[in-house]
Amino acid sequence: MSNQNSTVLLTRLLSLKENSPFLLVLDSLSQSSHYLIREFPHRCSSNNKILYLSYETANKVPFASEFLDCTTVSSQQIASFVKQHSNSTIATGSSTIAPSKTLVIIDSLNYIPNNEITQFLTSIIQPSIAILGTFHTNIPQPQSALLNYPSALTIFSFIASSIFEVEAIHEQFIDEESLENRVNRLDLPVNAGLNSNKFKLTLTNRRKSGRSVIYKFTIDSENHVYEQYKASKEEEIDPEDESLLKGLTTFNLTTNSKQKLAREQVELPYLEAQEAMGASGGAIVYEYEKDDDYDEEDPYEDPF
Amino acid sequence: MSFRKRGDVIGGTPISGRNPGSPTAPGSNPGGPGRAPGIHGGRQIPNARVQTPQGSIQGQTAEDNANSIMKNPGVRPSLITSQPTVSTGSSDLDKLLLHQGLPLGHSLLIEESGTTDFAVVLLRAYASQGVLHNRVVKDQINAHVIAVGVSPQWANDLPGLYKGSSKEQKKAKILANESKVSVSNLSGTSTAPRSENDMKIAWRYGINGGNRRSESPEAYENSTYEHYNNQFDITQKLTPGPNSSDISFVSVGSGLNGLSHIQIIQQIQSIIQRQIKNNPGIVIRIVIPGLLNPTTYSPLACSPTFIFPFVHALRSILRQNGNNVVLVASLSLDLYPRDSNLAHTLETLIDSCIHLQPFNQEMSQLIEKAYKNEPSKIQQGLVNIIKLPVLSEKGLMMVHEGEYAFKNGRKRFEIEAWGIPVEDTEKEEGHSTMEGGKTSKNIEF
Amino acid sequence: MSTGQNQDLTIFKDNSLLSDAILSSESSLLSTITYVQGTSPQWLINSLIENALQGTAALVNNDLNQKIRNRSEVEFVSFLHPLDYYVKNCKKNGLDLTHSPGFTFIDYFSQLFTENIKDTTSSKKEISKMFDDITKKLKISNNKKKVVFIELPEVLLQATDFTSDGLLAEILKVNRLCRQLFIISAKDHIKSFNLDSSIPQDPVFKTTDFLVKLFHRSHYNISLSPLSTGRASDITGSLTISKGSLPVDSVVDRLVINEKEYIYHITKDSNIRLFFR
Repeated sequence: MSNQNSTVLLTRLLSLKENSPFLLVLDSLSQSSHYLIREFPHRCSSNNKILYLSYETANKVPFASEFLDCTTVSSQQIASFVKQHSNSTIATGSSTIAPSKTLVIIDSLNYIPNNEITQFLTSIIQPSIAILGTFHTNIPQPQSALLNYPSALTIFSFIASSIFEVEAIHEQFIDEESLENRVNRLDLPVNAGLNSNKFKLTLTNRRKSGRSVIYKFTIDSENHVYEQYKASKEEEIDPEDESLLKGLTTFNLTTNSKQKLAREQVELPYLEAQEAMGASGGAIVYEYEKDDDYDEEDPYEDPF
Repeated sequence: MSFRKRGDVIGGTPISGRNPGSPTAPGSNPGGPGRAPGIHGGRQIPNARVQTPQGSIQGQTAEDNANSIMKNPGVRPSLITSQPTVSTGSSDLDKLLLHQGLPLGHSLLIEESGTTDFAVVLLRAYASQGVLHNRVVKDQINAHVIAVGVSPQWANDLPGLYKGSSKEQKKAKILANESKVSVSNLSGTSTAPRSENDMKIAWRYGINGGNRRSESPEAYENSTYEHYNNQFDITQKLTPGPNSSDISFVSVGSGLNGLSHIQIIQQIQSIIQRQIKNNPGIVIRIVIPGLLNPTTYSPLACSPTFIFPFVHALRSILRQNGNNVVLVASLSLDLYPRDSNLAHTLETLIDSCIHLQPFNQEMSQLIEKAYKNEPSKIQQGLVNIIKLPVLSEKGLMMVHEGEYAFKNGRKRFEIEAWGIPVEDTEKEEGHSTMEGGKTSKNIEF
Repeated sequence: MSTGQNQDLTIFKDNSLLSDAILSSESSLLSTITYVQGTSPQWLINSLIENALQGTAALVNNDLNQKIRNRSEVEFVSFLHPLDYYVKNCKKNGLDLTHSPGFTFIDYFSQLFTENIKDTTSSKKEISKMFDDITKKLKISNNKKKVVFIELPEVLLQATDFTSDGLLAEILKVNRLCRQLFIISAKDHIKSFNLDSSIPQDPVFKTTDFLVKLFHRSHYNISLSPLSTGRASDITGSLTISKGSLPVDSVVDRLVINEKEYIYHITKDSNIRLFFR
């Protein structure tokens, strides 16, 4: 799919025009799903009702018409709440307009016990609703009491029709590995572009056939602009690019084309030898000759 | 020698508690009207506190409690915070804790790596110290030890006083015989050789009036709080041994029939309440040797639902009886590594913590070689400071690893600054400053 | 190693510690104060109590010197210290907590495992009651400007069978009743915080689960740790103010966190100096 089409797909998903019953968002401590979630109400029309199922949100959300505190109710009550608020059709002028989809946002799927996940989802899923749930990926996964039973993340990823994985576009000064080390210690770096309203999105969308397509975007949730993700400048640096060498000193550090040609024709020493010895890959191979004296009984003799 | 000479106290009847009417200074012996004048006369710390009539035990207010504890011969104000502090029984450890001891209402955990048990030396000295405070004045109870999780046999191995080198012992014997009369005049002080030394210093002070600053402040302090701490000899047994007013034992159950944490805590609490009721100024030393040792504690005791509440409740007891109780415990890190949540829990709930780390074979050999002509310099391991009372909790960073080493000497448990010894032919050792363990010479291995 | 001038500690770009905007909003904020062994946050907590009660922060910020009477009501719940400890230590901040009507201390330390929770293997009922008492006390006054501190709630996870989800649900209830909730917790790597832990009954697992979930609900985080380069005699440690997973301006308009890393030094007399890193 072309750039344009991928952005269109994203926008269709965000506005609930594309059929996708279970939209899974994966976030982490370095980038929260908060901004992505709000792109949905931004793109939805006023015909789309929004229900908010809260396990961890203390404050009411302005864009949801109904808010349920799931920590104080049973899963049956959650199911009936969803049923109750999603069947109501929006009154419109014409009766032939199909009722718009209801968006059910679940702030965190991590509170549903592992062995109740499918039960929970099937109890609330209906053709008229789309479930948008966030799964926090840093939360430690408990060893299941049931052997071989897949983890929560595996189950959700398997069931989801679209997966939105958000990542931070972090500053250059911190690399992936050290960021991970710091997250492991709950020591998040500051002024590093974490938890920002501009972030990287990897969208995996499953068609009806089951085949999935993957697209990467850079999302600017402040201006609601979605662009195809470009790898960072670093990855694109051409090793032949000498622009950095210009103007560093008064010496001429660049090579002109004649010099480049000459350089390529230089025969490097030991090339032949490398090819010959290539098989042993630099290992020291000892060739035993007739004058060498190998004592088989000596336990400290060099092994071959 | 020192214990047998409990001479008659002249002119006063010591009762368990205080002598009403006689002005006392913190740290000095309140029951000693027979003290020769002039020895401590010039050394009394100006005492702003007025002696409160202690005859009636009922109606003790917290303030009275606080006042009476400062009169306990085993208590002195902390060098840093001025709060009442007691000696751990090892003066080097006292110094390491910065307060010159362990402040009342606080606790110390001694962790040890390896299969040795140097920690028990410190714990036994801590217990002995308490017992000795009951022998300052005849029949005056100043301290009580509560030993948790050990059998009464544990009390048989408490160290006796260090009586000086053999030369000093001979000298002291001669002196003792010569001045028999004056010794028994002193109100049964059990630390005869030590107090005689102190007396000499004090006399010098008395004569030299304004020269007190020329002597080290430590000597000054020692003479005022002369009963604060003692030196122990681990080859000598404490004789006579402790009796029931000196020490009680609290069981943690046996084998698989461990007691619940509430049962143990209640036992400890009732002993404390009883002791404080009888002596509001008493110092109660809780000692827990080998916490969670599998030979004593039930396996279920390791469960977080037992050990956490147990130690948490001990912390609460310490705070609620902040004027009277201290606690020292030891833990084997081989059984419960520092990385484990269990050790971490103990380090969180207990106010201070040191880690004894005996040297491995390589290092021991290196040290023995370096000091082969000076065996007294041989150190057995490192002392790492993890947490110090009051200060760590305030927010100060008090972790010092690899800066101190210990020597379990016969005379005392020494802790000194650590530096890797140099093994060169000139016999120069790496010298370390008190601040850090840096050697000033080239280290050659 | 201490370079530069002594700095004032601020959390928000409006140069405040606890912004007026939060106190007068209708929203509930959650923040974490996490630390590791060696760098106790006691001094910071005392200054935040002072700032909440009377607007000043004498030991860490010279600009905040206007005393405001009854700025907010503070409810302090501690699982590690008794009231005495705070009364004594806050004296240096110019607070007399025994005569501060706006200050309520809930002592869940002194009798935690002797009275409050008698059976640590079946603790849900008793712990729920403890939190009910907290919310009851919060509902007593109609004053909306409430600040709550809960010190070391993970004690409940490590010493009993209580679950992290259960604890989080109780904390959520408390959060909704105040403008600002501070949770103070230790996060020692491996010893109490380990993302690789997997045994559900393991105290480390429960604490880790609790902290990560808490961070996902937090609007800003304050973290204290020793210097990574080792001990220095004139530096105690580093203090970091960072954005949380939830943006603050989604609940309080135009409020911006002043993300920063400070290094600080504290003396035995609790004198504090802060520097920018």
